[in-house]
Amino acid sequence: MISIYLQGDSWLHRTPAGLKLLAVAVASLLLFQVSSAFIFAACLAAVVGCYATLGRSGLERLALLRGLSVLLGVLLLLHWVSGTFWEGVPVILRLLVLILAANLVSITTRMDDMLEAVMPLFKPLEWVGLSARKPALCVALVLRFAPYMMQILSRMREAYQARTGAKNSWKLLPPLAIQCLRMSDNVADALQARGGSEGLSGQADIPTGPRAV
Amino acid sequence: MADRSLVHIAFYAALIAALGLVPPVAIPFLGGVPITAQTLGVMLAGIMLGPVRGGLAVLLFLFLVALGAPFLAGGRGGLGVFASPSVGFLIGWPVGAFVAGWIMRATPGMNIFASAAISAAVGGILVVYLFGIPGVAYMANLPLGTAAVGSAIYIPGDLVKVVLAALIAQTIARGLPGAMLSRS
Amino acid sequence: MPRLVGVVFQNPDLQAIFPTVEEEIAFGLTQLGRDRRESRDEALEFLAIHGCAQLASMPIAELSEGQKQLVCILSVLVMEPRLLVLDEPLTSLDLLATRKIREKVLSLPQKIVMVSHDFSHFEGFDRILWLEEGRLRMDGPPYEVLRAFEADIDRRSGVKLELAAL
Repeated sequence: MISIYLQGDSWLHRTPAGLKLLAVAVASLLLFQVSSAFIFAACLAAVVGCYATLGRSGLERLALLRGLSVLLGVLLLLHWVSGTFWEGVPVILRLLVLILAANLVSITTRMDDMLEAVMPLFKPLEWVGLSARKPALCVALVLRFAPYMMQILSRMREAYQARTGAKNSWKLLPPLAIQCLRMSDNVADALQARGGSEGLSGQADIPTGPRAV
Repeated sequence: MADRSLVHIAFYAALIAALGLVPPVAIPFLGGVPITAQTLGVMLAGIMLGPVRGGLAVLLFLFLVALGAPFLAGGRGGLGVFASPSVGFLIGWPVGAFVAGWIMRATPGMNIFASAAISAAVGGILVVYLFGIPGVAYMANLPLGTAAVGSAIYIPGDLVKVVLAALIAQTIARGLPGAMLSRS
Repeated sequence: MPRLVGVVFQNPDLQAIFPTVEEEIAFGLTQLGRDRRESRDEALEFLAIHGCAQLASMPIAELSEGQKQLVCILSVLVMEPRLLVLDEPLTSLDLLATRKIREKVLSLPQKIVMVSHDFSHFEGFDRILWLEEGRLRMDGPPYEVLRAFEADIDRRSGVKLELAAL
């Protein structure tokens, strides 16, 4: 299953998703009130420590930093150019803390549980006459068809390369987009044939759950 | 919302995810800042699906990324992405798609290339940067001007995307006029 | 309608809407009003009854065309329709998958209506309706309709050959 979830049984894995989300939200709010590099450095150490509790594969996930380092470096450079280098350092540290902490929640929470934790946010949709089921159905549909679209695109690129020698072209997008719409019509028919997104009994449930990782 | 639209939205979000797998293309004469197929897909969302469905498709895509799907170009995903200094740009995507779709709808008489180009430029660049630059300024504690200058290197690439988006829209409209849901 | 009639379409890739097999089957049950937990349990039982328990947690994208079509059929069957309509279900399948799906379909207690352009698919069916240009041209037992159909093809291709000879 395509997800950044890291299989495991750590204390973080066992913490409920809602709690983790709340913790990160509160931490973010608090951290934005502070500007001390020392506090941020301490927080950073704590977060890295948490990654360590996930074992070696957890620490490997810190490689995320590699991709960020260029961006953060540029930001620090901009600070330096503006003469605010020393004000820039704690800011960069804070960004690091928040990014790593947020990522930590994501790698220790299954998508299924994450979705379930945020479903209450969709309750208000019912007040305006929209179904709270539909977001869950949409999530399932995207997870079902994203790999399919990737395969199709992959085959199209291969065929294009075989014909023209070039690996990419904007010319691949029109047929891809058209196929996309045609395919979605077929799927909509099949969905309709089983009662549509509303179900056959009014307030129906959705068997979401990308359980298998 | 009709089931047909629901599935269109989900499929388009899946398309944006698929585009994340295409390696970025570096434009040699623009200093090598690579342009990604994914952002092109985001630009086209509103142009193809109209304001509401296009905006929702991009929003759905981002929702899946937030849940943990590694759909962002480069295989990135999860909440960490939204704590990054470029989060403003991500927030701008669905709004930009909405505006692009709105402009397409508001210009039915105009030729598709022009209409799509304007939609892509306003929705895909103007609106997105309107959210993106203040986002960088806030997250990195930089003055708006500096953040703007820092983000400016991406603009030439984005302008190329505007032209591509217009070409694509024109090609689609010629091949299958009914596919331009923003105009039907 | 869906409660009485189940429809299976031609392309096995474009019917399932959930990532895994068990979710897809369970969806039919949640559509009928069962809650999520019940549906998952019943879906697993249902798969076991049909000899597909090992497919339960597999992503649909990883199944073969024949397996996918089987899942499509099962996901409709789980809703207990009285009539099952299959629209060209065997078109994208290879010979082995075709045989297996035909076997499955013919073993079902439901009334089955199958649409096809390939006569070999109709072996084992009780009655064939031959539709041409939107009209019912013939309705009868397979052997009779097949003979008439073949005669018609002979006649049509015969005429073409004569014209070519001129």
